[in-house]
Amino acid sequence: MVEGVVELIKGNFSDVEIVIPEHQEKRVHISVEKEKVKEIAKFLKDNGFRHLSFITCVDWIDEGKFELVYGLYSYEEKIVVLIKTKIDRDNPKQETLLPLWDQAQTYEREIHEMFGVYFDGNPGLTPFILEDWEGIPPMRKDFDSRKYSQITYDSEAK
Amino acid sequence: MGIKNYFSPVSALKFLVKKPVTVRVPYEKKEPSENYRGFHINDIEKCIGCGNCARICPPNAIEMVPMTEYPKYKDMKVEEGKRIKKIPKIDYGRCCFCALCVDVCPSFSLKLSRERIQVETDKEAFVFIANNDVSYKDNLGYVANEKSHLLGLKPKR
Amino acid sequence: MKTYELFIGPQHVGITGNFSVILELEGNVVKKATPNPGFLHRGFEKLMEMRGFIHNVPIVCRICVPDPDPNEANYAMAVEKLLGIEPPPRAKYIRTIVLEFSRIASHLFTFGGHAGSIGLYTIPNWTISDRDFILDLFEMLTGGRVYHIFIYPGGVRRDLPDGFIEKAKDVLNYLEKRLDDYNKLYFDSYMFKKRARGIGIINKEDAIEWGVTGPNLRASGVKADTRKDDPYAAYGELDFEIPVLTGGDAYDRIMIRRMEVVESIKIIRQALDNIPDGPIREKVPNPMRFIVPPGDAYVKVESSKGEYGYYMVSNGKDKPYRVYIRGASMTHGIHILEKLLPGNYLADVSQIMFSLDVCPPEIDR
Repeated sequence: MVEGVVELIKGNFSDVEIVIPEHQEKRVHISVEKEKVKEIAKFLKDNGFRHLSFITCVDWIDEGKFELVYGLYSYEEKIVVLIKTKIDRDNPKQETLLPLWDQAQTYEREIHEMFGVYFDGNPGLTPFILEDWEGIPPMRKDFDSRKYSQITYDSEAK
Repeated sequence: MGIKNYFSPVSALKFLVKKPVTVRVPYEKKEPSENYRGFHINDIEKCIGCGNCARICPPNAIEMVPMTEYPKYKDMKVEEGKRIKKIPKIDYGRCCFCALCVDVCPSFSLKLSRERIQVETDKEAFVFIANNDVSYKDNLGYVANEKSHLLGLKPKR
Repeated sequence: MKTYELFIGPQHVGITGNFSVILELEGNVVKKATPNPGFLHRGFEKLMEMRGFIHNVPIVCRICVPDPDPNEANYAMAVEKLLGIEPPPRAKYIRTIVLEFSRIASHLFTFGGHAGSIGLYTIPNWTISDRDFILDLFEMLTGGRVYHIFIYPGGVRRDLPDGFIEKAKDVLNYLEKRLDDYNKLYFDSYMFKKRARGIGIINKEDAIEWGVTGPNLRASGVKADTRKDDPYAAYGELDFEIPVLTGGDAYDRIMIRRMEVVESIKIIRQALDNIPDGPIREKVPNPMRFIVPPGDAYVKVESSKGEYGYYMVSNGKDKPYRVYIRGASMTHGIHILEKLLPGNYLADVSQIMFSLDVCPPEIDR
């Protein structure tokens, strides 16, 4: 149950903000400091949340922050827990989850390429989808894709 | 390997007498379904020129142009001080045939037909004003109805 | 022995879509595999940030071509969660019918591809032609064959046309009969068993640890299905089984899909029989000014490939602030392939890819 998971997290971590979103069943959103992510992910993994659904990133450009979102799922409780953490936009660094889940590699590689977030301790942050990309990472909010395509592909605009 | 398996390939012979699932183009034609999303038809007399279709169009394929651009109304007299009605001009290079324009048309004048093949040598021919004078005007496909209309309007009788 | 590099792809590698794998081979045994995606990157996530909520409806279905409807359903569900509305019961049933037909169509594609990759070339011809009957149904219902643009936030766009239920039942009866034919030529075939058994085994623990989802996970012996565990559309009200196999090899991954087709036929029959009357769409904002309150939501459906999720963030404007698409193939296509391919023969590479049902458009997006 959602309440059980909330109790479990509250009982073991004090400075964690827990939100149960409206209209959404079987979802728990928690916000933590960026140093706490690995600890809490390990704790949840030991408590049944063994499936790493996804890792993604949201660019809050007005705040000057990147928000990393980790989705964990438990096959026993059948609940999705989203761990959210905000990191500095100017110096985006975060500890890798590679020791916990091998497949975090794919997601971290993608975020590194698309947002320029650097994952400490991940050796394989090689180019993933883009080829020979220079300039700012394309999924950031300040990347203007319309302007880019005009400059790159429209001969008249050049 | 039993005796049954030994003869089982013989059962494949039944496919020799079955009707093929393919259509023998060009001798046979495959008819599109009742609400197929094909080319646009617009009843220009009925159109009120609101521009809803241009605003909803996801790939920006629709441009609103003055009615006088259409040859039939070229010599239409416009009264002093009155604005000319605008009608949708559709770029089939961009159109994705989602039919959202049909479902937001308040006058129910814009419809889709079941016609789907157009061959032209001039690329400008693919940008044209949707009209009611085309050969496929009676071959109606996707037409908005009471339930599908996104603004909740009902077609007038 | 000397190793050499072999580039497989980006065309015809045993996958629907452009995707390449760089293999390091020793003789004809794979030593190392490096998946190389990116040939289909169209930037959907960025594109969706620049367009209104309704303008995104016709593009989400293009993310996965063989199985487009989970995208539409996911997108609509995410918007509904943020708006705080529920689609009416009739819309839920229609969604279920569309989603299950889409699952069957996608599985038929996989059967054809896998059979082709092991040399049974009649099966692709059969499955693609049978899939066309389902596309005919989609055309009748939605007006489009491949991209349906049918599931709209708040419900669906059109009601079932006259005669749809009868025609759908005819197609289901036909497909059920055809499964026997498939059995004879494919599923019971000695060659299929000999080639696929014991190839690319994922055991139960690894499957959970590596993030395998969907039919591939169930082939490894984990009974998990989003349709049962986190019911969406009308699945909570319908009676169906989740087939589970324990082998975890290519053979079981294909057989579980065959069992799922049987279950899907069952689900559609129930949905067609029990479909309630009523409206097909909940009241939603004006499509031209579709404003969604701020918040974030993660929704997921069980697509034919596995867990398909959308994480949507809205900041109260008429455009989504961020949409993240979690395709099931993201893990299957990159990480799992890297783990499974080494040690196998070159001839089995495409077979393993097809048994995982990797859909490259989901990886690239």
